[in-house]
Amino acid sequence: MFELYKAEFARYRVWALCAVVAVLAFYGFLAKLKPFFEAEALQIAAMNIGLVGGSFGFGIVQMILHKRINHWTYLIHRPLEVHKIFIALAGAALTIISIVVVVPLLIMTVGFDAFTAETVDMRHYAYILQLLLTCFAAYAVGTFSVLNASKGAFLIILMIAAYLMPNPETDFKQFFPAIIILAGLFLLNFNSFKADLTAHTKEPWAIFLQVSGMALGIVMAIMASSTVFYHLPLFITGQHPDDNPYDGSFSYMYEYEMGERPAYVLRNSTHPSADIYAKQAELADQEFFSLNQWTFPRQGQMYVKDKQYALQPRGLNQIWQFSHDAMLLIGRNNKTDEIIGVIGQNGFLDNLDAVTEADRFREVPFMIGESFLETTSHLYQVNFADRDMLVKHEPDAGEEYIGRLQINEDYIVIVSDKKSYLFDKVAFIDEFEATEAEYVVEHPTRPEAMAWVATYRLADGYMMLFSGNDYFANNKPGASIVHAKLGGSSELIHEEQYAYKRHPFWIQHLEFIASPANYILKNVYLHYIEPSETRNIPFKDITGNRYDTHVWIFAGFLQVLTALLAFFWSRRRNLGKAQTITWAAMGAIYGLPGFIALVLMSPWKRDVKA
Amino acid sequence: MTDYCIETDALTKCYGKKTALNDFSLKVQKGGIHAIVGSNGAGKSTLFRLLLGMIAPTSGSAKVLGVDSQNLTTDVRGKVGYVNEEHTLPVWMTAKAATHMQRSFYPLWDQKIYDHVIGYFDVDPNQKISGLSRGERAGLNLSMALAQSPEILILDEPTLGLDVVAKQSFLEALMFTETERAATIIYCSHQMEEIERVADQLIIMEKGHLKNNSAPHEFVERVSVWAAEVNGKPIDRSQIPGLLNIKRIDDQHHIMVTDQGDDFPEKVKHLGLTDLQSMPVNLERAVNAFLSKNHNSPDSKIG
Amino acid sequence: MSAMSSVNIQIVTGDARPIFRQIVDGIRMEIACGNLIPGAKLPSVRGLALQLMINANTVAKAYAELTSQGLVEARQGLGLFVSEPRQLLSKEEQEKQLKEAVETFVGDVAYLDFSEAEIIGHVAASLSKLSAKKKTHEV
Repeated sequence: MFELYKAEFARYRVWALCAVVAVLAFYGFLAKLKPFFEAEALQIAAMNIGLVGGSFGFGIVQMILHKRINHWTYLIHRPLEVHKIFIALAGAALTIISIVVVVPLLIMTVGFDAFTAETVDMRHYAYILQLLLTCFAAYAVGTFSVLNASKGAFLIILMIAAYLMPNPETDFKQFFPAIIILAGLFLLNFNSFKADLTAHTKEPWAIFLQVSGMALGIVMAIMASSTVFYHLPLFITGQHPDDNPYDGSFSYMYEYEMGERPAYVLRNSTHPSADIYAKQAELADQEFFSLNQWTFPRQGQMYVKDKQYALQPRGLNQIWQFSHDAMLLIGRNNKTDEIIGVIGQNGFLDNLDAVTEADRFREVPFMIGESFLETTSHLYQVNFADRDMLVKHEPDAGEEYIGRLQINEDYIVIVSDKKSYLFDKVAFIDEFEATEAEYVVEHPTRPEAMAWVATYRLADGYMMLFSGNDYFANNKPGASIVHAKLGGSSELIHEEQYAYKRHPFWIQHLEFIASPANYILKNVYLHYIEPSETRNIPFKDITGNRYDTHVWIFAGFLQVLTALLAFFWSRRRNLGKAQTITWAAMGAIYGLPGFIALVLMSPWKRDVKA
Repeated sequence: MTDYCIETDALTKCYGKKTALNDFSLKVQKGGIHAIVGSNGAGKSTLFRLLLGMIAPTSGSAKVLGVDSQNLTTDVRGKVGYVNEEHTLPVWMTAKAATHMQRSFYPLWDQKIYDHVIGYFDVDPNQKISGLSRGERAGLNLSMALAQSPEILILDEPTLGLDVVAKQSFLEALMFTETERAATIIYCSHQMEEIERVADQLIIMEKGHLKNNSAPHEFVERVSVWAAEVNGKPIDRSQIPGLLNIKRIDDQHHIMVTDQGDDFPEKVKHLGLTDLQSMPVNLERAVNAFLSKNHNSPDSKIG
Repeated sequence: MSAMSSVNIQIVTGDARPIFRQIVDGIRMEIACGNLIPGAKLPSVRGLALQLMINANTVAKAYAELTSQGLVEARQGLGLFVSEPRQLLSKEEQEKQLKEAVETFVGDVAYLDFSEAEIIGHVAASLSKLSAKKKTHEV
């Protein structure tokens, strides 16, 4: 076995060496261009595509090379058990991947750690492990999609992408799922790696694992295909809702220019000044701000998830990076690379030796712009020239910030879970002192139900248009107009509920209907991993009033149908008892993806003696 | 213990609606060289892949050294050598490294045999296999296959594309290497001259069917050719017993038949075929006639 | 007299006669011509197979045939030797073989522009040469 491992390793070692050199050159080039650990989107994308995608491709290529008929016989037909052959091949490949992924990144990380004042934390090393595990998983999907006789095994890569990409709230949640997924993938590979590659998966446990892996990809494929079976035909026949806005519906609002939308919302208003508001909006300065809930950085999070690399005050040649290990901002001189001080939650300190436990931040703050730090409870402003820090703003008692400070043309805004705080822009930035908000608006509904707020500058404040498809919860769209007045008061002018009137429910809730189990599994898992991400719906919300009874009934009916379909299909194909039961169960559990997986995982041509 | 080293029973393999191997029941005696001939697509590769358990039969079964092909043990795999026409080897390795690796897998590896066989070929052990000529590669492959001391050695067109010298060396090494345990050799080739020289037994496959399994001279005796004068009357082909083919050569029909005795002229007298003269037939013609029996040719319509 | 004699026979592939038959015929001819004299040792099975580049089993089969015809005999542990001439074939068998040979011969020469007498003359000359060769070996 070890000889085979050596032989397979020898096959790729030159390539591995070339890859290491190329990756290292790429990293070196990046480090010249910008701070190496700054999570620039293009860099992360390039590393993911290059290394994770490369591992996926490598798995495919490696196994395709072996799968060629004569080569396969040569590989398998020797006095060595097949699982040992696989261990040798996969072992060699994982060694190659480890070398290409770890060596260059470790050189860079250790290099910066040892030879510069750049803040390098445990998390920078942990990222190497995280990247490596992801690459291993991608490799295993690559080999599996070649080795397995089924058609859709590659779809598992979509699950890897969806499940391993979020920003987990703990290290355990970061690494444990990756290890579980890896274990599952390698079990599947072991099961598929046998002399006869034309044999389809038979073992109930393997079918269950494989279908579970493919379900998410199949659901995504179903959703993508709705373009073909639903949207395109409607566009062609001119009956698509996008082309036929329905007056009185929520989406009809977008038929109007931004300035005209308040008029549409206020149409049924009984407020005495409704008309005036509507008219004022047309001429007012218009802006947006976001109500998106941000996942605040956690201690030890992968640095690729960082939103901002450091605070770099203009004209001072200083870089202040947040150290997750120390829970402090550590400043260094950009030119001399010397530590010039640290910032704790109580302000500046001269050096690390002066730090007491009380100085350390309790939460990892967002770094914003040149001088702001934001935790869920505090907004700090730093004056680097005078080496001073103060609390610029705090949300009202019982509230937490949910979003980063947003700097607009006309105002600055911070959003908490209950209110939006608007500040005068010039004073906010220029003055170094604690600030009260000029305008405070209580959100008319849960912020996660709304993505954006449109603001209209009025003579005496701002008119705000809140809207969302889920405004009244349970998929009931709505919008409201609020008048924010100077001094912190606000008045709800009007609130309007709309009919959905767009797509039929089976298109609107396609993801849920196609496979409630997959939908629940995905959301519950992702919600568990990253609770502050509002796109992930917790279990109690899904089972609450989110979906009408008829949606549940339809989905349930579909599942019974797919279970029956899977059962009879298996019977017709003369599958064994255990397989038939397993497939019927897959149809019952996963619904449509269960049945589609059965079709993908069965031979399409039946071998019949003519 | 059975005397057959390979045994298939009603072995059938279909790919979709195409039947590659049809009710194929073959018993291969231990010892000697068994040549398999068949035109392309006769099912030879399918047979080998089934024997080595690389695919599953649609029905029927195959046994190698008494073990079902679907569940070959590592022990049996160690006793069955397989050499294909490409001479698949780890091309990125040197001959020495590849040999070293192979040796580690085979407990019965016989270095003396390896050294002897490789002596027929001019292989530099430090050369990468990708840099070897086709003949050298074949030689290296054969050296390793023989050194493994196999009980069965399957050779699938091993001399394909080899020049005269390499082919000579290959056959010599194959036939005259003294092995401790006499291997049963399954030799698949298209080259009748080779077959004639090496084969103890001749297995003929055609369109997935087994057509013959006997010594070559016994096979030739099954086939006879008769020359008959053309007399203008059309010949009813279906009436000729054991017909393989009819060729019109000038004013004669050459009728090739199988399994007919000396009384053949009597049997076809009523068809208007008279003055039949028996003609000698060699192995190649006999085999070709078998293989082309069901293939259309311009001669197949004789007026 | 047990030094190994070289056997000067050729085989051709593609012949209507199988190879083992060609060997039997060839050795018979060698014996008939006197190239192999009684008591001469035949090459080993392996040796002749190597010489002719054919499967050793084929040679073994030819030797077995020659042995059964009584042309050669095995001496325990020493190999095969050409036997003292004696006729093992029955009278009828001999007559049958002669008839076949004559028929083939006649078929081959029938179309040639020779008179019957000329042909018989040639045959007689060949036969006398053969017996002369035999005699020299016997002396």
